Amino acid sequence: MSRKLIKYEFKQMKSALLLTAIVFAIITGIVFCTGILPMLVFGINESEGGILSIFLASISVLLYEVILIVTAIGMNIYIGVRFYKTMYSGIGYFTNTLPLKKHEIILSKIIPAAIAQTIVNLMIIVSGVIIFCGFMFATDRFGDLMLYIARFKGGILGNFTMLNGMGIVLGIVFGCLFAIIQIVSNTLLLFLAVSIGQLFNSYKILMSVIIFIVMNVGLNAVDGIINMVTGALVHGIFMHSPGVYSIITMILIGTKNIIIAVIAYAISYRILRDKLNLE
Amino acid sequence: MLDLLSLKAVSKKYGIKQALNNINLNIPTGKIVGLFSPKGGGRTTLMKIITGVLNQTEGVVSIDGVEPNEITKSYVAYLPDKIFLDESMTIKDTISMHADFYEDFSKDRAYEMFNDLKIPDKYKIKDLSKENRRKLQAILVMSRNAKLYVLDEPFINVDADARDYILKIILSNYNRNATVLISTILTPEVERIIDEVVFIKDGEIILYDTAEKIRNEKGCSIDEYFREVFNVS
Repeated sequence: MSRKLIKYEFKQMKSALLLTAIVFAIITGIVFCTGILPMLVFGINESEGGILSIFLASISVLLYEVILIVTAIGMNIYIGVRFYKTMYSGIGYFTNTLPLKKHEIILSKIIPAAIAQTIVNLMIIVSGVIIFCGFMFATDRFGDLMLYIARFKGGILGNFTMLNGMGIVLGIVFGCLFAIIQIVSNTLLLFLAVSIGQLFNSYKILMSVIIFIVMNVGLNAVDGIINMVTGALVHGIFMHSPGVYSIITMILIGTKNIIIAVIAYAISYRILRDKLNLE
Repeated sequence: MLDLLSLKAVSKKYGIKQALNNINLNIPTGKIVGLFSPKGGGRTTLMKIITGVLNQTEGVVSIDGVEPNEITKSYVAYLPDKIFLDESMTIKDTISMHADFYEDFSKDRAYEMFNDLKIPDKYKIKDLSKENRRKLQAILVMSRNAKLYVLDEPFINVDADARDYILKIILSNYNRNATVLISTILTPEVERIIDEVVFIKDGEIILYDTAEKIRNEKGCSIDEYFREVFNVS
């Protein structure tokens, strides 16, 4: 039954994802034309055209980064608002009277939201890679790029080999797992903020936004402390294998994210079961 | 007759505000029960508790012997006083969604009623007028072959034509073996169909009797008696 709800949730999110993909495609295209193309045409010398192309490239990349951040935040807002609307506003009367367990309802909201966030992250990566490769090509540093990739393979990921002998595959699996935990944890935190926000009698969405920001600031501080402590304790011991520091930090932050996700899920479930405050 | 809905000492508090106080009610199968109170009397809270949208602070609610949960939700059809439709969905998807989730939902019956509105089902909910949204909601709820229909203000914020249409939908489509719990303004049409009457005042039941008995004993219509009891002009 919850699979059906997931199916409808995806169907409703489809247009938002399509719009995001179009925005990314347009932005990537514009930045390519305004930032990279002039460098290819005029070069990056000290001529008038060269200076102009460098200027355009700088502005384009700056705007590109801002738009990427805004779009990613926009997706977060969309998911939060959609959760609020379907769970706690008028549509909530339908959702909460479906013959489904509360766990099934929450899961059918988390899964599509986490997948949508993953898709948006992938879009950001693809767009970033296109711009980065274009930039390297335009600045005659494509050879350098290949060198970077080789170093990346042999260096950073090589540390996995040094540590446990599993190599690049483990590196990718480990990175993906970390990213998934991060996305799910972030989605659950968003849902928790919305669930707490709806407990207020007025300004429910505003309260949700404030709670989400406060929770994120607090958790970023925790991440900072983890980084600092790990740096102080581990860095010295594993000086000859720098990857170990990153791996241990990732494990600690990943564990923190799992704990946050479990707590956020439990509180959201409790609110949904006992403290539903439909408009 | 077997009681379909039973409430024992049900109370609900919102903070310090007592919304319902010691509600005891046994409603049998196959009756149309009118739930009446002035605004803020507690009828919406009571309906939310029955449908499992809200938890009571104290007491026990049972529908067909089961406390409100995902099982009772499969045979309780709830029409809230709010619009519960997703504006971004098409009418077709909305109907399909109901058919997917409720085994007792008849898609044919839904389309039979919906076709009267002469609106293409490819339209999105946001393209519908307020009246048509209310009508569609009533169609979706009454297309179910439920054991209990809980209808909270089905005629709220609609014009007279829409009210007549919704009333027609309710009367011609409810499962005759089911119980209908309806909260609405009292019109002669509504009064004619009601078997039993519940008056709620300040969260407490002050009257539960058959409509016929009230009319015979008081010598007036339910509406007149309601106005007398609640001092409504």
